[in-house]
Amino acid sequence: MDPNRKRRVRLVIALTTAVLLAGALVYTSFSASSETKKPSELASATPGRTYKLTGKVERGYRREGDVLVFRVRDRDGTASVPVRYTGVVPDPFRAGREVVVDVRRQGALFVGERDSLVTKCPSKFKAEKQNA
Amino acid sequence: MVTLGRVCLVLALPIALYGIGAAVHGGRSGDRRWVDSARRAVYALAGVLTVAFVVLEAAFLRSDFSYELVATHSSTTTPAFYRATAVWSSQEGSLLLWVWLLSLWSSLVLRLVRGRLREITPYAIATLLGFATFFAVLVVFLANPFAQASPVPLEGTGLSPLLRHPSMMIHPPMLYSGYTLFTIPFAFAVGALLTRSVGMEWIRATRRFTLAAWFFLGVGILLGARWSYTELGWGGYWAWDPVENASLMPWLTGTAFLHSAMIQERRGMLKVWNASLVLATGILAVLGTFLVRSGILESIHAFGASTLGVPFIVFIGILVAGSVALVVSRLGDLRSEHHLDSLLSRESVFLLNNLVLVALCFVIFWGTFFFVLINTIAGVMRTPVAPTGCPFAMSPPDVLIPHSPVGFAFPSTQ
Repeated sequence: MDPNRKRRVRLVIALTTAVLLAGALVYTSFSASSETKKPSELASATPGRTYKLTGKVERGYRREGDVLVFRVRDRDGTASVPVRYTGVVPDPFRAGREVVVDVRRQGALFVGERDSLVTKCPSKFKAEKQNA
Repeated sequence: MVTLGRVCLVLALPIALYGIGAAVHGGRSGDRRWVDSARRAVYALAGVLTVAFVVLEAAFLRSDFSYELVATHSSTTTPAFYRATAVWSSQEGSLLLWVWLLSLWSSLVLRLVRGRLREITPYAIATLLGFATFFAVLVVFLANPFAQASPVPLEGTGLSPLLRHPSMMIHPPMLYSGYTLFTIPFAFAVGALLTRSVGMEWIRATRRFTLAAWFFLGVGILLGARWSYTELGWGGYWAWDPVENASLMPWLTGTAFLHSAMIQERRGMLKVWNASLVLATGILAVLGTFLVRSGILESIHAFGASTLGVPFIVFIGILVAGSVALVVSRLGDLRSEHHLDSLLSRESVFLLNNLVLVALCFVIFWGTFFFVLINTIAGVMRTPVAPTGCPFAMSPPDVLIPHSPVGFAFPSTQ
């Protein structure tokens, strides 16, 4: 085959592949990502949809059998939401610590997805009163 | 002592600025005395920053709570091992570590290339000092590690218990060594492009530094993954967190560059690709620091402080615009000496592995910044694309596949 024609064919194949991959990436970005929300942003949360809830654990969390019941409030605010979570609870989990948890709205409650609770890694230690 | 540290830090700024001026003047006029003076400015910069870092480290070890940084990140009950590491647990200390390491590596490379690369070196010095100036501005004006506590507390708040892990001693310095070492090939690439000396000399001269950067960053990433795994609650080895992604991106492009540089060395091909890769790697290294320190993205690493976001964005913008302009303006000089003749040649396979690595980097970049894009366009905040369900998702071992000696199994293009 003529070298120039060969080069053109390769270019077309490469560009087509790149466009297809880019299209798949964009499609996946919209279909597979979940929104990160602070408690104050969850007032209009759609029931059944998964959100990544991020904020600080409030004092007064408790266990009800296998279920951990706690409230998450805004890092720099007072708005908070109740969460019922089942699964592995990280060792560092305690009041005042920042966490991220996948939740779905069920009425007034937010139900955490199993084993999705993650604690954040802080650079500063700010001691807060522990859970009673 | 606090005054000594502060003075050294403030001195770093005029030294770096003088060095830039001397290097550029020396490069343009061809007067070696100015270039030598600029080199000595880099050594002086390393000297004052070493003093500043030692002063700060000593304050942590002595639990001197007159330093606000010590009072808020250490305590008398913090074990000595962790008091030593607490310096880089803070934003101010880690930025000082960044610019200090940069000055050390810059001094080392300039010592090693002395008498060689006479055309390129002045502009490489200016570029390295440009990086140093940016970080010096941050620690002098925006994140002062020598701020004094008033009143002086009797006891500090202590290092966060989550950071009391042996990896704290080695993981951050490894990552920062990787980031700062990647600025060395970046700077020499800029010098080579500016002077149109786009042969192999700058690649050969900086190869050890590129390899060291790749090694340190790789070890830092592995140590971080191990630490994350042992710390229940950080999402296991790899959580595709923005801060984790930030360290992986320059490692991927750096890996690609190490491979494709061989093709340029042996066949005089892929010059544009190599220049672009090494510049992208340097920028991604700064981007990595930015992601950790700016707080622009939601991350399980809650170090972020948004005050540094704007300066970083401006600096990265300048780096990107300058790099693109430089490569585009030198396209004529970067023409390949040979063409790919066969898809089954060694060069083609190396190029393919490069494309895979860069594609992986792009997917991670896209996933990491996707929410920023969406947030900007639609006012909706999203997290990075989750690896589950993403057709391009990968685990860290996956990146080893293209980084394999498979290319050597193919014959070289004749």
